[in-house]
Amino acid sequence: MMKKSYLMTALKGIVGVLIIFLVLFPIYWLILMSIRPMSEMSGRISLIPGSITLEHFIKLFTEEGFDVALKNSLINSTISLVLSLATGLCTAYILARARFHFGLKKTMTKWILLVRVLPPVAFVIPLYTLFTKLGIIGTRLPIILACILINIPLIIWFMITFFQDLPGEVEESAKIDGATEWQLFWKIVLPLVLPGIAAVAMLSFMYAWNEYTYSVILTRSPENYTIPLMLSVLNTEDNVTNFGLVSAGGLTSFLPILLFVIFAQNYLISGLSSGAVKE
Amino acid sequence: MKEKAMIGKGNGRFIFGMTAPTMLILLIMTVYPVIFTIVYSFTDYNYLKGIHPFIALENYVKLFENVYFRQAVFNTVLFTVLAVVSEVFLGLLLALYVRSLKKRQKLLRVLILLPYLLPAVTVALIWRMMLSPNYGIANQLLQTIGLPVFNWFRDPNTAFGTILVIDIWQNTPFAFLLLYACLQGVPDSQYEAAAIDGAGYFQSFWHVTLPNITGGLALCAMLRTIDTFRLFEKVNILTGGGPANTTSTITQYMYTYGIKTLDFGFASACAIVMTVFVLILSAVYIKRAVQS
Repeated sequence: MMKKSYLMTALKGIVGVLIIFLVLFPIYWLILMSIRPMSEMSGRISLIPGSITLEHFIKLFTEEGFDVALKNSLINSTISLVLSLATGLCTAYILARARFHFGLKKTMTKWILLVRVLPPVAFVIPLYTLFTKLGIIGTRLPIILACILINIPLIIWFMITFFQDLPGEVEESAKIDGATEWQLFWKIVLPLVLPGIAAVAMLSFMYAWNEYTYSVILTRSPENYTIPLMLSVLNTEDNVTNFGLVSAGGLTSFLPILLFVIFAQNYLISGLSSGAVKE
Repeated sequence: MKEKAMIGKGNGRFIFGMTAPTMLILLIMTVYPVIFTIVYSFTDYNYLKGIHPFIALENYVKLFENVYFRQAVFNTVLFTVLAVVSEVFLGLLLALYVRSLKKRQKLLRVLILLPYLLPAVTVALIWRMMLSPNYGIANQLLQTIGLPVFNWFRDPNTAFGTILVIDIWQNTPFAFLLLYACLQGVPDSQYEAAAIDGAGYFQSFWHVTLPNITGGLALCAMLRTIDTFRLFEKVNILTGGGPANTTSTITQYMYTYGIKTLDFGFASACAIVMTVFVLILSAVYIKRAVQS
């Protein structure tokens, strides 16, 4: 019996190492390629670099204009997050509470779900012509709007369940104390769902940060490129001279999400796995 | 009573104020585009020429007669089936494994999650570097142990499978996370009862675990299907649909032959076909979500 459980532990350990290797090796390779000097990238490549350099990062940010892409990505993701949260939270609250009636409530709820399911191609062509007519196709606005389009349904659908889980008595008693609906929402309800907001905010930021499909169609000039676009441009042919740059850029693209993982992984995980328990 | 009446009075304005911005955004960004995608799909609309006479179903006929499009549909369906089945299966195995550990469950959970959090573009580029025929680590390893090497993304025999593996690598963590959460929800008392009845590991998996997570498995498969069906980033960056169209997906086809060429009428017909596919695939999910 003892022997069998010992064997089992050893086997589990081996499986664990194998899993970690399969999952993390590509990420390890990304980090490695970004700090490896170019002379060590051709011929026989070693698993551990002989020397370390920051030349790729320096070249990326000073010569290739990656600083602009980083700035664009930060601005676009932040603005779209703030606007989606502001509008999405308000709407989710109304849709979640039975005491608010309006004619289109059911239609709107269903439409929002549908928008969440439909692919970007269902919307992108008329948006392209519309944005061109409005003269904003050469600006950062189309990407911000596209990210809002992605995030509003996500935020609403996610937050509806959070609002529904709040006991109604809290609102009842605040009402008796004479609070207006707005005060009730802003001062009492929102603070209670802060964990939910934190989780969905991280998800939204991540989806906006990673967005590629809308961006590649709705962006014309390089000065509006976001990080995913810039990376796809850097990655031309199978060219070893760009590997260092691509890796440095790829690592940069991972940093904000990595910060979430390090400092707020519980929120992030509860956000990502919410569907499992809630639906 | 008085207070209630007071709040009731301002209710309409409050509701309007709270929903109007979203309503406006949805109208401009979703209702209008969907209507016009349908309208465009019946016209010969090229963005440069501008004129777009009504041509009824001609775009759709052209689309379904097109060999490349049919292949793109086939590829998309095959890719989705293979990817979703693998992701759910591997995700379940991972979840069962991590759940069986006595310690370090949380650490392993977050490590396994990492690939899913990377931008799809970054994932594509990492694998492109690793699989590079001249400078990649993969071919170097294969050569060392005497196995044949490939030009993974250019060889029609390997391109599809390679992108499939990359997609599975990135998205299995999502299935894992969801199913892991489901497993946490299975009540311990049921396992204890099964153990008392003398059930072994596989019996208790079959009679206790599986019935408890069927809903989770279905939801997981559904969400992954909806997401995989729109596959575009990895294909566009790694192969652009080639070689010999073996990796083209519906979205990639539409991008290459409709959007880049500014043939918006044709592209719209393609978008509508794609949308109908997605609606059929997600009908069950939508129905269930609306009911709850």
